Amino acid sequence: MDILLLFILLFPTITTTISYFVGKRNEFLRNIINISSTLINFIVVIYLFRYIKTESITYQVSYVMGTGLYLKLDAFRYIFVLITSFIWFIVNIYSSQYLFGYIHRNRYHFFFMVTYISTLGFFISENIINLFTFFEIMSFSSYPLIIHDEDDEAHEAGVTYMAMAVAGGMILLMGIFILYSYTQVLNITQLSYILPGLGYIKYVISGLLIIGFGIKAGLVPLHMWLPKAHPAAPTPASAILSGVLVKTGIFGVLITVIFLMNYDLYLSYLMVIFGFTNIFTGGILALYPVNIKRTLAYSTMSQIGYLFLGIGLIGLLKDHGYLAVYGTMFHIFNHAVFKVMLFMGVGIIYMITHELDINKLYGFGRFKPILKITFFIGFCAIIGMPGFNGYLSKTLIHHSLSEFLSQFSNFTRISIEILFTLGSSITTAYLLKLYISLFVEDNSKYYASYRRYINKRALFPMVISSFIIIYVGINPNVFENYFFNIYSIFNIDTTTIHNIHFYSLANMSSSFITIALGVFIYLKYVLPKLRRKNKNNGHLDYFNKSENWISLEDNLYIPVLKFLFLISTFILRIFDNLLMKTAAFISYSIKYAANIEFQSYTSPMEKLESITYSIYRSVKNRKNNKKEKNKIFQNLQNELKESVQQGKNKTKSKFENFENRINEHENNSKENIKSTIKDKFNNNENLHIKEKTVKKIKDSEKYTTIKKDFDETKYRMNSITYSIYIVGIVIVVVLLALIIFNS
Amino acid sequence: MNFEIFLPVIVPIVMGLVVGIVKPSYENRNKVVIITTILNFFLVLYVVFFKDNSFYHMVKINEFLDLYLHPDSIGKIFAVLVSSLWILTTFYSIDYMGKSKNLNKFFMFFLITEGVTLGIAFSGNLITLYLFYELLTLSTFPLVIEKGSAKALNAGKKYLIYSFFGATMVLFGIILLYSQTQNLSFVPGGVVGSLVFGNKNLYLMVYILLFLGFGVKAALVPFHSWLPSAMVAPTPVSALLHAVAVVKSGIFALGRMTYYVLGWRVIEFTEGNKYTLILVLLTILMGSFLAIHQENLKRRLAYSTISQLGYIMLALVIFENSSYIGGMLHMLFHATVKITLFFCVGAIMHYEKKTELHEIAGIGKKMPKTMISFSVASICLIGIPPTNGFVSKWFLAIGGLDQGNYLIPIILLLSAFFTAAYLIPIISTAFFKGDPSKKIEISEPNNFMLIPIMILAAINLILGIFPNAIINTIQIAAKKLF
Repeated sequence: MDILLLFILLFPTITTTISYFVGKRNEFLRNIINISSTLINFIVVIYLFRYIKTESITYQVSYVMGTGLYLKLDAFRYIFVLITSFIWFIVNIYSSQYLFGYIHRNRYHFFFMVTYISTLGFFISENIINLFTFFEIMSFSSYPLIIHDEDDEAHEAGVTYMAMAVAGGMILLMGIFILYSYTQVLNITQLSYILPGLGYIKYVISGLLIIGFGIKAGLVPLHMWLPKAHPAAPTPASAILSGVLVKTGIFGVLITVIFLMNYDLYLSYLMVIFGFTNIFTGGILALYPVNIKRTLAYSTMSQIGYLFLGIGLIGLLKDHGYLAVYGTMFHIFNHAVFKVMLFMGVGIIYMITHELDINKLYGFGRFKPILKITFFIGFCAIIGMPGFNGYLSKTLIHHSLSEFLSQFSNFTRISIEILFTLGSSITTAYLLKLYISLFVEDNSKYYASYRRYINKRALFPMVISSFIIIYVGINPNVFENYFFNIYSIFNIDTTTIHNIHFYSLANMSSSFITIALGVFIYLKYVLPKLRRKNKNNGHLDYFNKSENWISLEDNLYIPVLKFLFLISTFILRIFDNLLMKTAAFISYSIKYAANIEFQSYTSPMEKLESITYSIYRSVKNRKNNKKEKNKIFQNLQNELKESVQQGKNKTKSKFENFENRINEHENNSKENIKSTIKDKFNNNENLHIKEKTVKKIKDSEKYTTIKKDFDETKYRMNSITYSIYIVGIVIVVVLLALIIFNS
Repeated sequence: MNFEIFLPVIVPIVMGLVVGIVKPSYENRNKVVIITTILNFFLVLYVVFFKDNSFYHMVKINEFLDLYLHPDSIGKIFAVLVSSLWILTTFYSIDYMGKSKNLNKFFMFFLITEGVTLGIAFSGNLITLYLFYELLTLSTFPLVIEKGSAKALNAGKKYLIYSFFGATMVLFGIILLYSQTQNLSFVPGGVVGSLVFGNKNLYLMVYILLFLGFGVKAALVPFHSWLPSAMVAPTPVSALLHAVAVVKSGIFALGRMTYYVLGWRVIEFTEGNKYTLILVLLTILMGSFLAIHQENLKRRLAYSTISQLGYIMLALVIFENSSYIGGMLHMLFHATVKITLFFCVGAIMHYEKKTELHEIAGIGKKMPKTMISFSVASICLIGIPPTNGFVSKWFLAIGGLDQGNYLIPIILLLSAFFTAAYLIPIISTAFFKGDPSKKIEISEPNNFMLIPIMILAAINLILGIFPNAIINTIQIAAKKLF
């Protein structure tokens, strides 16, 4: 029966390939293929249960992916596999209905199934590289689901998701690299023997693994993508993202803390702290949004907090942690069921109204009994109302927390108990906000029943889920009866196992206290403080108070990353242009040096040259008789030189002579030249003429400056430049060689 | 005489000259080129399977100028890679280059380059390799300047000067080395041996000179800037030259120098690899980081190539068994992946006349097969399992960690993140952006172009899932070295 492990991966792979090509022509057939293949897979998974009950099954394929494929299924993994195959089955039914009117349905279904296969693969991988492989496939294949709408919001969420998913994958891979480098094995079971024996490096490894998996699980402060991506996706995708995909992160963290690190004390404490942070951050942030899907996404973060807390408690209580193991596993199962159901409920609303704003949807469900009841069941389950499944797992986690706290002083114990109760009560508050606006408030806009819109195929999965919620709630021991074997996997001391009376007065009263506190928060904070009057219709609208709060992403991560990005761009650009810039620098320095005017302040010769040049230019600027003028002024210049050699005092008279000759030849330009010459000569006592002329010359394009040259470097690399740089580098190399030889 | 070894080298050169001199018509030329490359592939296969440890002396003037071919396992792998990719590129370029008249010259040099590259693969000693290395520069130069525009000519000039500069350093190194060892043949473990004791600095200098010299072709920072400039060449040339022939020849020569001439123990003794490691890590980071800044798709891929070549060069500066395997694997995998990416970008350029990132919004819906192949290759390049890029990255990183160097895996992963940052936007723009309401007709490239792309994409996937056969082959070669 080991081959069935491969079957549950390969079978959907084949059917997905078929359904993709079928779906291009016949969508109905595609949906049938997808639903039936998930159903068959689900049945196979149920069938596998008889083998899991007593022992684990493994299956190996060598010569694949470098390291081979090593699959394993035991009672612990089975819970995850069961949830995955069940949730995908019902969500598949739901999404076949939901996606009417969407574009690219075929693409959606394809990636939906790829995500399914990779999630299953992730949960049954024993080899850590296989685990990572499926994890990455899952990350990438859920990207098209998230950005399915292809609008700006979806793309923004997609960018955040992709960046964090890739970064998470890389961090995880780094952990796996170090892990393998130290242990030289890849199987999780073998690793758990070796890793706890390593020194401090084991904390580096486990830290990297926890960050990598934590990103997927929405661990605060690495949760940024979650509240963006979950609402952006189409609802069935949101449902599986929240219901199942975050569990992959939890699975990874659990594997790391409990199995690989062998119930490490520090990490377990860390998990408890993470648990509380997540419960509170998720819970508080869930109070504010006006987008109902976003509230549910934050709610997922908050519920994940319970799972982190549970993992921490398993680690802390070690072989006494019977309640913690039971509670955590149970909550994983329960959360998947009720969160998927709540999302599907919201999805039905969205299908009809295409609206997610709570202020526009208020009163929607008042006259829709089936939707109302199923949503109410989900609501009761998530807040931990006795009689529903959420109550059971929360009670168990609460019990194990109390058990752990019994070793502390009264003060610590009571304060943490209060913290826990408070955290749970926030859940009640934000879901009451949702439930009361959607299903209790009155809004004439939605009096129509919309029965024809609410398709049975969309409601059917919700009804199944509510049935499960109630069935489990009424038969609280059903979970334990089936999964008794799990305790041996967690090395639980069998003598400590005892029966729990879920519906004892103490448990019920603590749950009711929590709910009452939540109602109190709702009445005293949410209703008065988070609403204001809408001017148009007089309705009390919710507004998002947290919008202007300091956000980790906008105020810390993005600025820091931008800064790092700019700095590294600057530094790496230097290396990019190193040779070219150096070569250009050498070449143009030489050029510049060659163009410098070597002038002395006293030389009359110099002055004359400057002057003649300026005359030359002033004439040249006039467009007519260009060549003739050139000749004249060359003559002028020559004669000037001669005159200087003859005697310095005679220069002035000579110039008068020139003037006459200019008059002869150039009647038109007479005035101009005359004034120029006079201008120069009348003031030639002091130096500012020279300065002026030099400035004029420098302004002209004949002379270049270093700055000007550098602007042109990009376009003007000539062969001289290249040869100069070759010479330069040869010199550098020779110097290098000399240094090496001398050392 | 083992004349058969010489055939894969000389046949394409002769056929190239024939094409150049006879100037056949469009159809005939295509036939000649296709037949030559396919024939050559089988000639290479013949050498690979039937010629073990055999020599062919081309010219022997004296001990120094002794030109001979001697294929060994690494050379054979390289030769198979080159000759198989050449076939695909031939088909691709027949479509890409169109029916313009002056293409006989282009295909002449195209064929000659294949022969020269195979010469590098089969060279038996450093001086033969050097000869073919110089010839490679000369035979690829006309391909780079094929367009004849001022930009192309400038890029060609840059390419020539950089290459010859590198070759000068190489020659200097070879002369210095020969003066000491009197032997330049390729021997696993090197020919220097115990000569290094007492002459450490000389060998350090030889190593640095050879590394920098061959590094020019391998686009080692700071000698890399010819590579992005040379992107003005037609796409098949860019793909083949800058993904396979030229840069891989540089890498291959570096590998020969490191492991077969100097020997890694000698280099480790001189501690020269500490300096080169810095350059290599810089190459990896700089290439992938600056690729993010490039709007032009081909330039983006060019910078990406620089970074990926750095991955391969890691194997040549960290002397570990697993990093050697990783580097050699990456040499193969990067070739197939990068040529796919270039082909896809070239198809977009050729059929849609689009070269910039922002222009290609929605093109995935128009050319789905092309862009899916592009996506597959991108994921390979990022190194997401179960694709081939992951396999090589794994070995490289483990090799670095075996030396206790944490920087290497960190930089590898950082670079992989940047790789994702410059490739995923292309995919996401192509598939998920653009006006959704617009009805887009599917118009794929011509089969001559599309089929090579799809074959390559399939090869990438298959190599990723079943890499064991290649890993084993390389492991055997690695055993001789370590």
